[in-house]
Amino acid sequence: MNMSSYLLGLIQVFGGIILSPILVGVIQQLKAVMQGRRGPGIFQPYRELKRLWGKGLVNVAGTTIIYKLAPVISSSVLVIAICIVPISSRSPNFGFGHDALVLVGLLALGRFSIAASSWDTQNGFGLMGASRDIAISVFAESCLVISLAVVMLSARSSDLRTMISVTAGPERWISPVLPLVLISFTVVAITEIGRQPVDNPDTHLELTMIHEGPLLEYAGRDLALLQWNMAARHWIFLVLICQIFLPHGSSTLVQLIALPIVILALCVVAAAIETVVVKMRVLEVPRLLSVGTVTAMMALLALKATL
Amino acid sequence: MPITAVLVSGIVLVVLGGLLALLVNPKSANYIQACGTCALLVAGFYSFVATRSVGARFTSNLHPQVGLDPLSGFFLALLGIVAMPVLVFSTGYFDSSTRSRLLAWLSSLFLLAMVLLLCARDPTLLLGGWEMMTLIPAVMILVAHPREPKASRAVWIYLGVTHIGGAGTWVAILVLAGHHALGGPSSLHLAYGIQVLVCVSAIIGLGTKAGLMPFHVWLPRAHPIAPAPVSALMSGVMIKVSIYLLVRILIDWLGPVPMWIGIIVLALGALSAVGGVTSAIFQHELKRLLAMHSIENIGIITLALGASLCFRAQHELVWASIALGAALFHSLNHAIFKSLLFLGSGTFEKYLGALNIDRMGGLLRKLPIIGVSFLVGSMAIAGLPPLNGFASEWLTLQSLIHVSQFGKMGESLAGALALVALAVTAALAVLCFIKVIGLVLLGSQRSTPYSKAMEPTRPMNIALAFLALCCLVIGVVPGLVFGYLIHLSPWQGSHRLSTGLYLPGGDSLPTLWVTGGLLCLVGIFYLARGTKTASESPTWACGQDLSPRLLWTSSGFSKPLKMTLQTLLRPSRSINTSELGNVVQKVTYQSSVPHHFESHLYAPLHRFMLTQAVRVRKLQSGKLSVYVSYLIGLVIVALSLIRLGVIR
Amino acid sequence: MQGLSQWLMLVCGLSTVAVRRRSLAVGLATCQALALAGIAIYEANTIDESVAAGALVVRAIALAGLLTVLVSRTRETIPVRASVPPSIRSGLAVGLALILIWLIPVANHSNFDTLQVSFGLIAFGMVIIATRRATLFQILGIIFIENAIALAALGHSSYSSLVIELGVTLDLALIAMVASVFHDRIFAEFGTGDVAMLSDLRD
Repeated sequence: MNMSSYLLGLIQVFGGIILSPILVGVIQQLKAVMQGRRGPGIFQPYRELKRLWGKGLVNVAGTTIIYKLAPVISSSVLVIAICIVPISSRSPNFGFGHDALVLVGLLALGRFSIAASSWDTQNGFGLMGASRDIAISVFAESCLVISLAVVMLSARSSDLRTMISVTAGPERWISPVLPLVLISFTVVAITEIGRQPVDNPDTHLELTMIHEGPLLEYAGRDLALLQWNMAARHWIFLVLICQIFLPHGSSTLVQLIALPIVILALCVVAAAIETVVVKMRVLEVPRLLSVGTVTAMMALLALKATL
Repeated sequence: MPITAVLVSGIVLVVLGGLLALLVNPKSANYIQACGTCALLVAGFYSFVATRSVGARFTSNLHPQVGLDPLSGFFLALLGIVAMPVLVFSTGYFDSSTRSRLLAWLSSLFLLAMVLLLCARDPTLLLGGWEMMTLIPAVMILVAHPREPKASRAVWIYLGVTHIGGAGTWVAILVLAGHHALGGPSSLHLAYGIQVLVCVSAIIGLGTKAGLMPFHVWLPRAHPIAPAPVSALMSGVMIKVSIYLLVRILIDWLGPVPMWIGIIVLALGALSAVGGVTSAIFQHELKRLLAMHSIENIGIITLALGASLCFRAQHELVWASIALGAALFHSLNHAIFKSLLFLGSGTFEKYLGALNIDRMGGLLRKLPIIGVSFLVGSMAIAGLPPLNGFASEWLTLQSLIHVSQFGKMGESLAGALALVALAVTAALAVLCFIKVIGLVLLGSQRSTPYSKAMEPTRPMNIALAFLALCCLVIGVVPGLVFGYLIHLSPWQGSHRLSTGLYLPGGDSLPTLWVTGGLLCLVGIFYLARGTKTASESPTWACGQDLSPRLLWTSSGFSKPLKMTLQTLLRPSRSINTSELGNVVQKVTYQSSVPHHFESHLYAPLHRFMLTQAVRVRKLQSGKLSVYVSYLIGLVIVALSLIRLGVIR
Repeated sequence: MQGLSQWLMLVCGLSTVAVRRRSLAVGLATCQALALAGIAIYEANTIDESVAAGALVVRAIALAGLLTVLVSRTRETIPVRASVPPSIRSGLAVGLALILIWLIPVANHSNFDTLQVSFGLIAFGMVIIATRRATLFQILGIIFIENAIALAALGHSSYSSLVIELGVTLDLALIAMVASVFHDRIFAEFGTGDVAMLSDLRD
């Protein structure tokens, strides 16, 4: 591991673990600005985490160790996911590899543990959120796998670094493959991050929440970990969109410099979508994801036609 | 030859154990049988790992011959590794009544029938073992449930469907034997028509026995009604032996098959996978849910097998061996975790009396070892890292992506559709098993205590813990098993042996690192979580007490999915309100998801055949003269045919 | 001599198709069996063939005795008439015999005419079973078929065929005996030997 890859690794881990709450803060602040409010400032998530870290945990009657382990497992999974998702094609290998399908599996493990915690506490809101989350993930996972598969086919490998380097450069954007798969991956990303039109991250009403449900029984450091989880998902999916599905440069320096700029632009887009688009009915979300899947299949056919 | 000695000693021990169980006492006899299966496991494993063959090779003539080669050795090891804990479990599960003694003897016969099938090297022993393997579980079900109409109906459907469908197996093997191709494609290059005939009949015949959709109707009836260890053996091993024969016929003996057969196998696998898991989600009885889930996993194995056939037709032999290895690996994994889940459900049945998942709960605290093992098994079957289910699903996903990579437009589309099916299946399996875990293991106990509750004895705990440990170990070091599995293809593949999974092209699944990382991080975060807790507080239910009426049921949890897939599933729903003077007294809600294959495919077929049978019955007039007229007609027809030269 | 006996067998067969009285039919069947035995004796060259011929004679006499006893023991109260009149019966029998003879597989038979006679007798036997309603006639039909097979086997002048013929003869004799027992039972059950009563057994 030479100096540059060491630096890249450091930036990746630091960005994922420490800087990811800023993404959430930026989106919240932009939404506030667009909606004519003053906004809490971009560092609000850090203040939340600090406040929650000082508070005590909840001990729910009748729960087993699963309740205690769920946020822990979910956070560990996301730390490994941060190590797997590279920020450039020369990111170092932390030992976990850079396989895209391992990423999908790890996200499923995180989802599973949170749903298990809501069964453990038997909280009605948690179970409602968990049931919707997992039902939607049935469609989201298929869309995710097929969009990643299209890029895997053009890269001839499932290693994310290879995917980054193969899709670099402007010539890839002449054929319709990458734009189509960008659309489908954006739909999945919105679903996984939990932004509108799929889920409303600001609400705690049972009619509108999906990811917020299981959080209701947690407090203190558990809740801090779970809120950090959401921020880490933002990091993972925005980095993936930025480095694979949008036009990016082929040299490491260009990729590194462009990363924060593009991510910021994506935050602006996310805030705009949240402000303008109305939240969908929960049962309509699979339809949206199926549209994403079909788009990805069209991209695959386009890829095969051009090859 | 050490393999032969160990194999023979294993068989002898199993026979001895069976007889002893029948005559004396099933408990110690089951231990002897378990030792026998351990010896079988060792023999099979050694043959598989050292790629050593003993005994005769395959012949097409009808002299009985036995032998063992690496593929048979692998499935023998699979049988051993599943049967050993199942037998130890039965020691604690069954009592000493006559029925249990009969069941113990019959299970030894069942194991012997499967060993015979795996070691058979000629058509007579293959078909004989096949028939015995089909018939013995039927006998076991009838012994376990004497004079119960539901059991006899289930056995009737089981025997009927497996024999009608299983005729395909007979056709395939006899045609192959007739063309002297039972040893391998080198003996004779078969004509295209014969190849297609053998392929189709093998897929129908073995697919029926393995539980592929649409031939699967017997599985959700026969598996739940058998006692738990028998279900574990049926679902764990019997289905895999059908896969063994399918691999032999399609890959070993036929040579390269045309591409469209590979695509049909892919389609059947995708249909079984998605259909099986969707049906499993809407079941309310635990064993029936597990049985439908077996259909899903057979679908996944068939997907990998189809991918292997496609690769072979595309002349990508490296990936063909990888896909075949993925199919065999998933067979092993499924055998382990499915038998684990069935044994766990048997324990719950003894403890609670019934297996309605809406009436269970809180079993993780009451039965800790069983509960944790069941949890590990459920996570493995849902395909979560770092357990073994994820490793084999990862391999299958990779194989399907590469089918699209190497193929032309049509094959890529088929591969992409199969890929979507597998991804959907994996997510649906997560839904199904999070629901099972939540309702069965977690939460509060929803059922009244059972009067004849039996606490799990030590052998039962040991058996389940052993299987859970196998899941963990194979999940952490899958490469050690997979490296040998690649060598099982008739065209030699090469794979460097390592703990994780490394595929050509750079894709890798470094399982040791991922597991180690997960464990370390879980430890760090758990410690960082701290211990500053408030006092115990109840679950938040808007300030009310959490009464049992506020608890979620399985149909509630799967309702979003049911509503989304409404047009496909067509659930039926009825709501009845009873009022007394415009005040609603009671509301009854009933909903069900019908089994569409039964209502749309099998029931019309059944009705058609019955009406035709009524018509044919008119031919039986009871008069001897009419019968002789038939005979005269037959003689005239036969003579004319001879005269015309049709029959010689 | 041989041709005459064969024609005798055929005439006996055709008459049995047409006649009404059972005792007459038994007499004609005995005639036919004796004619067959005569052919066997005439053609016997070796010891085995003589033994077989002797067995055929014994069989003819034994069957005659058995059937006469049967006929005398079971008197029908109402005459059992077949539904098909005698002339049509005879016509059917002759027609079927001609069809079967025409359909004989053409192969190198040394004794084609014996085969023709056999096939004719088989046709007569089948028609008797198919068209007549009295149980006795069913038995006679079976005996006729047995005679026909024996005749065909006699035509083959080889050692093994005689042994086979002997075995076949004995087997079919046993079947005829069983059928006689059934005739007795049916009579005891229904009070008549009318085969059409068996259609009651259909569910």
